[in-house]
Amino acid sequence: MFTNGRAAAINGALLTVFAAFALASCAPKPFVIGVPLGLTGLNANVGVHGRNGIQLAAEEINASGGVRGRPLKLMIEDDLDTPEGGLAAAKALEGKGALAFVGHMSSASASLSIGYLSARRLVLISPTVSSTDFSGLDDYFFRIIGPNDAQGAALAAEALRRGYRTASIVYNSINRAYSLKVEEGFKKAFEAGGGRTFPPHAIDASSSYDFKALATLILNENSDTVLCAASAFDLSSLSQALAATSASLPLLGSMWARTPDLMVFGGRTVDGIVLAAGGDSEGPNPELRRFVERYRERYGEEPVFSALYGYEAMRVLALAMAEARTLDGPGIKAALLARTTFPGIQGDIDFDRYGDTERPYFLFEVRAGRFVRIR
Amino acid sequence: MSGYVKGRPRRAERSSLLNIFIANLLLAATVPTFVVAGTVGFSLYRYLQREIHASSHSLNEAVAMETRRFLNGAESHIAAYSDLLDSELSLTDAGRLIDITREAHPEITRVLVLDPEARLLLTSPAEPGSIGRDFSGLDLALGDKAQGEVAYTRAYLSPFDGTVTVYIGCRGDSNRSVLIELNLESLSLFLLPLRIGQKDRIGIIDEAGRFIAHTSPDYVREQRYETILGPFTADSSARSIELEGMLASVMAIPGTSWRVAYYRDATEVRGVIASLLNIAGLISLVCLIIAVTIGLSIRRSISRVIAHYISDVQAVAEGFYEKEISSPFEEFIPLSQSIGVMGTAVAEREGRLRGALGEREQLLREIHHRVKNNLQIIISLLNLEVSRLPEDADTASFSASIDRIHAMGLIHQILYSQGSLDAVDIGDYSARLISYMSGAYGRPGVRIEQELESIRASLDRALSFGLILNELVTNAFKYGAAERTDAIIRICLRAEGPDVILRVDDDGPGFSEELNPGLTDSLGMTLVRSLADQLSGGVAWESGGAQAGVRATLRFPLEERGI
Repeated sequence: MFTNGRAAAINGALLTVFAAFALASCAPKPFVIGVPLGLTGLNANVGVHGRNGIQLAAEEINASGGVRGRPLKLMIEDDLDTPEGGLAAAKALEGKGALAFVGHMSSASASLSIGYLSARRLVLISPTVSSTDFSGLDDYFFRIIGPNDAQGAALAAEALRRGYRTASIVYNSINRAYSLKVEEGFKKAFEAGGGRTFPPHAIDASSSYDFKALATLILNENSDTVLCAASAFDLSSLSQALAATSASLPLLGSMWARTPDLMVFGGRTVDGIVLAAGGDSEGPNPELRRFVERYRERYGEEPVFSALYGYEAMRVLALAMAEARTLDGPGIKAALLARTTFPGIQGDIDFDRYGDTERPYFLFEVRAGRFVRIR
Repeated sequence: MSGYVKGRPRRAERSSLLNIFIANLLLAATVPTFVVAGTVGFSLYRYLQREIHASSHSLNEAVAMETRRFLNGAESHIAAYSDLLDSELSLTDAGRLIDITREAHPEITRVLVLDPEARLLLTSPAEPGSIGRDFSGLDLALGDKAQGEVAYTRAYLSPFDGTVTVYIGCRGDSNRSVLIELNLESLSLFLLPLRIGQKDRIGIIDEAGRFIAHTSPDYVREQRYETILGPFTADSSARSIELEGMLASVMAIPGTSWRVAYYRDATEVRGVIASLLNIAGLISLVCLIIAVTIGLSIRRSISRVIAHYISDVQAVAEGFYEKEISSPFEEFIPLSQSIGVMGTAVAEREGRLRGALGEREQLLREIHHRVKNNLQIIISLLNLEVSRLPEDADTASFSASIDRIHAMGLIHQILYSQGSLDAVDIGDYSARLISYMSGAYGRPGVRIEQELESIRASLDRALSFGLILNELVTNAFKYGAAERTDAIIRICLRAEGPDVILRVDDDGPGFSEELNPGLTDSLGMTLVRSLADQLSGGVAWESGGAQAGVRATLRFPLEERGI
């Protein structure tokens, strides 16, 4: 026979079991992070790798307990790498409750959404938007990459070092916020070093663009080299078109083109192209090596620069969220500016008071279908 | 060790018979229900889980076979195209024939013919601007393949339109290669009708985990990777996992390095399990509610009977010994019989005690009567003694003694003439004593005002009180009223809390400043002080001087104070 107390204890135990089942279904509410990226089209490789890097970082952060005990939930939206697409993606993600944003891989896609998100006091950290158009603004835009005119300057220095004195220039008119700044940096440094540039040719990055006609125009300029501030598809197509003429004209490419697609689209014709880019996946940092290993294991290929910057951008945002006094745009912005240095897998990231960074670019050359760092 | 326990004493633990009964009833009703429901639910869950995995496996098998059929179509075409190129037909004529057959097959977006250096010779449909394009960047290792054997590339963006595609390649006799750009959108559309449920998803994944085809084509367009099943390994040709609300299972597609992944909405799949578990839970809940309702009903009915029973027992305890205690419960019959027997015994014993008590009271009353008579005899003797004294002899002390004895006798008279023997109403007693003393000392013109409350006091206290009252009233008559014809004597008796207050006022000349009644050694005053001490009380005198009268106040506790 049960006593009064024992019966109550058994009833209590039963209730506890039911309560435990009920509580088991209560998980902490995740923080929604908006991730607008260009995921489709001929230039999608940068966005796809960037997304993969961001996802990898978020998975690691969640595996180690999330931010303030809550997991991160990425909401990914294709921004089509266009200004209008970027704005639409930012609006859609805001509507889905994004607390902050990590994304926009091209300056074009960020050009409208930076103003939109800043007006709503929402932080956007871009892994690879490098246009100096957005420098020196006290807004809610932060970036992990250095200014893109430095890419042009690095390529100009290499061109001069190789003895080139005249240069034709090609730029992508869709992403002009990016490509024209590379062109400006190149022109300024190249001409300062005694070189001469021809008026730039605009290309629209579409598959129907007549690259053969462009090649003819360039060959008529009889220049020593060609700077192509455009995507991997643009540069490889130009390379294919020039190769078809049997002319041998050295090509210089900006970071945008430093993706495996350059070799896929260009085949053997892209050998010898020199590119300026950040994100050296073969750097010596042990944390970088671990990231590369994990990336290979997870996605079955080498990470490109956008994956590295995406990974760093996500980690910077998580750190700022953890340190923010208030979990809103102003709070996260203040936390980003309060810290002088954020640790990155390619070296420290130092934001100035406008959320810009000065990070180095390296020079790579395509040799036998591989990017080889030369400086 | 000391038996002392500090703090509040602990209440003895008692159990409620009803609560024990109800608790056990609830346990008896709910525990088996929960155990049975839990066991059945768990068994069903395991059974259905196995069934679900088995059905997912079957679905995967079917989808893999269908996908293989889709690819077989493309592979058979590439073989045919290769034969065309190896024939005597010119490249242009072969291209026209390829155009005709390709248009009928939506799974083929484009057909490319490459020279041994991987440069584009021909496309179907025609892409004149691309002729000569270098395709050596594709990882199509046809050199390792036998002639006529097909090879698949990983997913690429097509340089012609930017869509995600996979190339199937085949090398012919002339070392020219034929490549087919697979229309992955059509492969995705092909998967769509293979779904069982509307929420189910099917994906084809390459060896890197990237989606080649998906029932939601955005998965392919955005080059998404499989995230639920995790990285694939060589031995992960068939595995199942449940995560993020999806039941996913994967199976290799023969002849490729691709895998088909079938995702089923876990909520939908488990709908049957959930409804069964819900029914089991509902049954448990209903059983619990019924048990609680029955328990409360039983508790109420038992409570009513027990309350009635307790009321009967209380009546017996209060003296209704003849009351019959009945209960509808068999278990209570022996208890009822015992209480009945006990009541009878108590009634008999009480009758005997009452008889003895009556006899004792009668005896006491007789004693009081005799004491009163004896005191009366003493008074008569004293009066006789006084009458024999010479006329000029001082008889005041005799008179005082007679008064005191009378005061005592009056107590005994009241006691034997009233019902109870343990206490005297000193208000009534005071009235009688004052009446007697008015007769003895009163004169016309002396008015007595009395205000007396009915207060019951024990015999001992009443005796002391009576003697003090006698002294104070005597003094008032003798000294306050004196020879005057307009004197007023006020006597007030009242209870004040636990104390009794007796106040005797006169409007006489008062006492002189030299006289302190509290210290004077006259017999009367000494007696008053001594008796007041016995009563644990005190007497106070007040006099306002000449013609202001005297107020004597006696205050004593009604109950004798303990030591």
